[in-house]
Amino acid sequence: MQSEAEAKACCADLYQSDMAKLIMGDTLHPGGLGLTNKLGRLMGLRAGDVVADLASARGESAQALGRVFRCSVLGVEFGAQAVRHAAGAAPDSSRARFVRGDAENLPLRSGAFDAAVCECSMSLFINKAQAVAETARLLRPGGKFGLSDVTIEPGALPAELQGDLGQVLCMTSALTAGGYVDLLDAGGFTVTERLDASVEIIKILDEVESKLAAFLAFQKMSGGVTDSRQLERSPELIAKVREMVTAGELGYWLYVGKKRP
Amino acid sequence: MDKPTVNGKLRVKQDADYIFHELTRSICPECKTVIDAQIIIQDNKVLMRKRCPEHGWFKGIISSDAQMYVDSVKFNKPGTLPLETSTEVKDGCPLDCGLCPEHKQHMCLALIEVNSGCNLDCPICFANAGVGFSLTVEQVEFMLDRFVEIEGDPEVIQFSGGEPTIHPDLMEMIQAAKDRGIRQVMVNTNGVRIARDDRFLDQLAEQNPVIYLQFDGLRPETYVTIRGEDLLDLKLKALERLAGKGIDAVLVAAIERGVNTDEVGAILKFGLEHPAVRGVVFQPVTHVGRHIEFDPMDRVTIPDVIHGIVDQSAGRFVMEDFVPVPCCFPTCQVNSYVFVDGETTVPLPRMLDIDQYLDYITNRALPKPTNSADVQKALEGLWSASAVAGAEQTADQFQCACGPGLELGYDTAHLKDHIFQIAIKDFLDPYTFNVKQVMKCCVGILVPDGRIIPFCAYNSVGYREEIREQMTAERTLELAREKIRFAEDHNSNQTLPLADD
Repeated sequence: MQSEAEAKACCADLYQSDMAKLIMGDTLHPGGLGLTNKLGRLMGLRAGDVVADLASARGESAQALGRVFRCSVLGVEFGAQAVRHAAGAAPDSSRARFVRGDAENLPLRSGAFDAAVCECSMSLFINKAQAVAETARLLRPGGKFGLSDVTIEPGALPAELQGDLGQVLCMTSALTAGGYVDLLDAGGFTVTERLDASVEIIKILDEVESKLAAFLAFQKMSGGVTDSRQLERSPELIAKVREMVTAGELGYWLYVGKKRP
Repeated sequence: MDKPTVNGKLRVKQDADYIFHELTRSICPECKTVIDAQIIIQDNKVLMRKRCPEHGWFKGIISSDAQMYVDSVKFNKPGTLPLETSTEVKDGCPLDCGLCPEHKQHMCLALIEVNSGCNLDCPICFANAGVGFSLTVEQVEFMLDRFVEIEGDPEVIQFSGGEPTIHPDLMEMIQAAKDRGIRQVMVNTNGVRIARDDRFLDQLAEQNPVIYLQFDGLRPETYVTIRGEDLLDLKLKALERLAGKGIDAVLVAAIERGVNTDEVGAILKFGLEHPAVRGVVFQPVTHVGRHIEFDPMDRVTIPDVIHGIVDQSAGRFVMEDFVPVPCCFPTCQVNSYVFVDGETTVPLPRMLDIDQYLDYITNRALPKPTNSADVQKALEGLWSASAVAGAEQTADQFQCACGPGLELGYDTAHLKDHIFQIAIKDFLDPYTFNVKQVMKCCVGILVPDGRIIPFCAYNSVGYREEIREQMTAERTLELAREKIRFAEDHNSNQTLPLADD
């Protein structure tokens, strides 16, 4: 069993890796910037709002939210390399800034934010209640919290996905679709919107499948430069994950919570 | 009672010299009124024949190969409906565009014409470019938002004009499309600014859209006829500069009878060998907007271009390498994909039997390989109006389609450099306008009020003129307002010191 600190660092590392970028593309969550936009619209973000992006990764979502909704966005990210990348990639005109920090202990001022977003990251946090409490702390009363994440029904996770792979795929510590509502509610938010976007997982599976096919063909031709045993099992895993989504055991949901006064 | 003889000869019933294929609706090329139209087959050609009560009979060629036309029917894939429509059914197709609830397909590709002005003045221009309007970033953002609402997950946007590269805010517009999660952005251009402006080229490299470059041939005379001046050196320079920056380009050739029909093979060969070029699109000249005089019975159609390629490519291509595109009406476009490795070129249709996967009429089981559903999906992606040459996704689909039978041995990043797209797209003009095709059109023009209008309806029915007039009027009004504001500021500046005196 990893320590909490190790787990955090491991996750942050993996999300910075080239492999993750190859498989997932530039935006490291289902639905890409299209779904980020949808979350912003559900939250009713307005020009001039001050928004925190928790676990902002390489900063693409923060940048896009700033430009599309004309908000000031502060991205907080645990991985130092990702923060440097995000800050480096930001143009002078950017409405987004980036700082290093832990979502469970945010280095941000209380009551100073109109809104916060957390995309596909709550499921990775070890202490979720603490992260929600921290978010509530930094929002003004009536402030909006937009959450999007993987949902999983109890007992649905197959053995082969319970290790590190499952953790990277946000699955080992994800909650049920109702679990996030309870989490937000217990943390001082009234959930005003919820949206089932599970179809976005299917789209990712389609893409990963064709990328893997390309990669495996290349492996075979080149005589296997790297160990691809893990990858060769991937088609089965992808089929299993697809089955889970179809059966409603695995999903991806958006939520908007309003901070109670 | 009729006489049984004429001039002393027994009267005999005559066969018609054509096959009556079907009845559809079209427009009068003179007054744009919607009228019935017959599709007939004569001497292995497909013709449209129609009558306007006021302007009489019209006849034009639709396809020079009736067999190919009729065979394409099986490629008609059921449409995928958009999330939202913008207008009601009132006057019937094509007068309710926007889309209306009777439209049979979503939009694979949308264009935004960001301005009407151009830095060239070509004798042939379906958009009839000239002074008029220039959209603001806010207008484009609104249109993009509307596109996202309608499509949910839009795949491709193409910025066009006029000439989009002379719009001062083009880069901001490209970024706005990316910010909304639109995967692929294309810029449709004549290449003048790419060839001449270093700073512009740097900005373009940063945004890295796919460049849809007008490229009509390799003879100076071709450019003189189609574009009014010899642009060959400029085009070559633009391509060289794109290659230098690693920006992908697709050559777009307007093909006109007697001008460059003999150049299709050379254009394709040039494209296959040029490091910046990922594909070629051949477009028979659309006789709307500005065009040179033409005979509607002697216009270029899709089979003419295919024959041209086959005849001029020294055996590299055969007719069967070109397959109808199922997402739009299958008579509108054919595609092919070629795997290129140095001197070697292998068209994808030689590697697997595409007919088996893209036949939507015959009730058939998919072929044997276990992943045949994936192969079908990959092929549908490639044979689609949203397939963008040079896109990584296109490479993935190519790999998947070829996967089990032929391991190409390239990872995705490199594979992209080996895949070449050929598309032949025949847009409708007022002589060939067919409501049946427009109703399933999947290429649309986004207009500032948020409607999205099928490309050929926009060009042929009168929408272009309507929008242009509206936009120009608004622009004129805005300029007048600016003038008044300036005058007021100027006056107030002058009156202030006077008050002090």
